[in-house]
Amino acid sequence: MNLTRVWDQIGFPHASAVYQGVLICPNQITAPNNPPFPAEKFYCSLAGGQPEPLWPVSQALYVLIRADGQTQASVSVHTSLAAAQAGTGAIATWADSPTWQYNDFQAEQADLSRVGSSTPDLDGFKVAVRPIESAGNPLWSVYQVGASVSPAINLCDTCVEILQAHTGEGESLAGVESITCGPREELTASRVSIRVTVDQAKRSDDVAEIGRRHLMIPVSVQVTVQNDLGSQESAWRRCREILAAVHSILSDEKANQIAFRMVAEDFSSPAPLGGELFAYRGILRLEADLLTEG
Amino acid sequence: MRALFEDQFYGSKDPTSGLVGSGKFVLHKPVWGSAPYVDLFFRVEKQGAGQPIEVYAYASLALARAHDVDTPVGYLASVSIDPDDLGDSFATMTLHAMSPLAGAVPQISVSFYAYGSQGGPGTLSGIMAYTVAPDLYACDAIVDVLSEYTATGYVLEDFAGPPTKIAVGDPGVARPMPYVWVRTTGFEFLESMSTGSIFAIQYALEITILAHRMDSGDQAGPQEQAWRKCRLYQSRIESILFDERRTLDDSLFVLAALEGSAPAPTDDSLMYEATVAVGAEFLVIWPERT
Repeated sequence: MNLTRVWDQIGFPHASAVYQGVLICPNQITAPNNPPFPAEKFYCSLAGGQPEPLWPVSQALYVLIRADGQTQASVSVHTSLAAAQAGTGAIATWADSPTWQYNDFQAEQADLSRVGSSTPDLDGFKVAVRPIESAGNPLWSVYQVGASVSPAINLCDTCVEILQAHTGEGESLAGVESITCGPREELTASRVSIRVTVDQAKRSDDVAEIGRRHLMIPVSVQVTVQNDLGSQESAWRRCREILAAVHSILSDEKANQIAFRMVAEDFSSPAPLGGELFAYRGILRLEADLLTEG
Repeated sequence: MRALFEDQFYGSKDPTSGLVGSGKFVLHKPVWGSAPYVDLFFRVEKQGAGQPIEVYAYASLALARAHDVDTPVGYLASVSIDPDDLGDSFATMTLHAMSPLAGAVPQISVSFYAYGSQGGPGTLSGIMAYTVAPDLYACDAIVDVLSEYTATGYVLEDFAGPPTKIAVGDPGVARPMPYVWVRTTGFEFLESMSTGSIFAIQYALEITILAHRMDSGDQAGPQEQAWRKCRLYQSRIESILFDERRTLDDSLFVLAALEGSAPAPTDDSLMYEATVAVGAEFLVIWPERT
C-alpha cells in the first residue's frame, strides 16, 4: 500500500501561502473539478492493473512551491527541510513551470523529472498542487510529503506536532507539560499531559467514486491532570478546558491545514482514574478520514 | 469551534441594560487574522449617547468582569468604534479590527463583524464570551442559579455554605454533605442548513445530588426519609432549571432536555445519589475553518 500524507506547510508562514495542498502519487491524481478544493480532496487513483513505481520507504520528502510574483510557479522536491527552504539540492522538479490559473486545478498536475542521479528516484511520479489565490507577491511554501504503510503512526506524530504548537504562553494548551503518542491509561510523570493513541485503521471503498478508498483511523486523545492544583474542582475544570481546546484544534482550527479530516465522535468528561483519586482523565474520541490511499 | 454567547451573569441581569437594551450592539462573528486562536471575552462599554463603543478582548471571564472602565488593564486587544460607523442591521454589519495591546501575551490578531444602534442613545456594558468550552460556563450558570436558592427559607437552604456545597467538577471524597456537583458528560454537534448553515452544539450536563443515606434525624424509617429528602432536592432543582429560572438563560444557552435517575445508594452505601441530566444548547457556533 502506498499512502501519501500531506503536512501543514512547514518552514514558511501558512498565512502567506499561495498554494495549499500538495500531493505526490505514483499514478494519476484525482481531485474534484469544482472549487473550493480542500486539501483532503486530493487522492491518488488506483493503479488499475498498471505497473506503478514504488514509493521510497520511510522517506520524508519536502516539496517547495515557489511563486515569484506571477501566476507562474515552480515545484521541486527535496529530502530535507533545510534544502527545501534554501531551494537547493532538488531531487526532482516540475520543470515546465506552467502558468496556472486560479482555481484551475487540472492545470496543476504534472510529471516530476528526476534531477541527475538523485535518490530516491521520483521520475514519472505525478505531482499536484492547489492554488488558493492569485500570486501577486513573491511567496514560497514548503510541504512535507511522505508515504507509509503505517499512516497511523504518522497521524499520531502529526497530532502531537499540531498540539505542541499551541503550548506557548497564553495559548490554548499553555501549561501542558507533555504531549506524546503512546498507550492509553498509562500515567505519565507530568502534572498536565496529553497522550495521543491511534487504534486499528478501518478501510472502506467509496462506491460513489470508483477507485477511491477511505482509510478511517480512530484517534483518542487522553488528557490527564494530576490533582495537585489546589482543589479537585480546579483540576477537573482544567482537564475539561484542555479537552475542549484539543477538540477545537484538531477538528476545526487546523482542519484546512492537514491532509486528514478529523471528526470528533464524543468525549468522556474528566473523571478520576479508576480506583485512584490523584488524577483526572478525559478522553476525546475522533476519527481521521484519510482520503489519499492509493 | 467556539461558541459566542453573552455572559448573562455579568452586571444586573436586567436584559434592558445588556448588550441589547437602550443601545444595541451585536457582536456577530469574530474573524482571526493569524494564530494563535485563543478563547476571548469581549467587554463592551458605551458611556452615553454619541460616545464611542469600546470593545476590549480579555483572556478570561474573570478579567472581563473586573474591567476598569477608567483605566483598563490586562486586556489583549481593543477597538473603539464610532457609533456612526456601525451598521444598524445584519445586512449592513461592518468589520472592526482590534489592535493588540503592546506587550500583551499572546499577541492576537482578531476582527469581528458587528452591528447595532448608530449614534445614540444609551449606554452599554456587557460581556460576550467566545470559548471552546462553553459547557463550563453553562455549568457555572447552573451553579450560580442554584446557589441563589440556598438562602434561609429557600428550597435549597440545606446547601448553604461555607463550605461550598454546590460546585462545578468532581468534589472528591472530602466533600461536605449534602452536595451538588455539575459536570459535562458529552456533546452533540448540530448543523441547521435551513437557517443559513448555523451551527449549534449541545452539551450533556449532569447534576449529581449526594445526600447522607442515614441523615433523617430521629424519625422512623431513616432510609426512607433520607431517600425522600434526596428525591425532593432533585425535584426542586428540576423545577428551578426548567421552570422558575429558565428565562434567565436567554442567549447564554437553552436547556434542551431533561431526565435523571432517582436516588440510589452509592457504592459505599453511605449516600444516596440522584442525577438531573440536561442538555445545554449553544445556538451560535463559529467554526474557524472556512
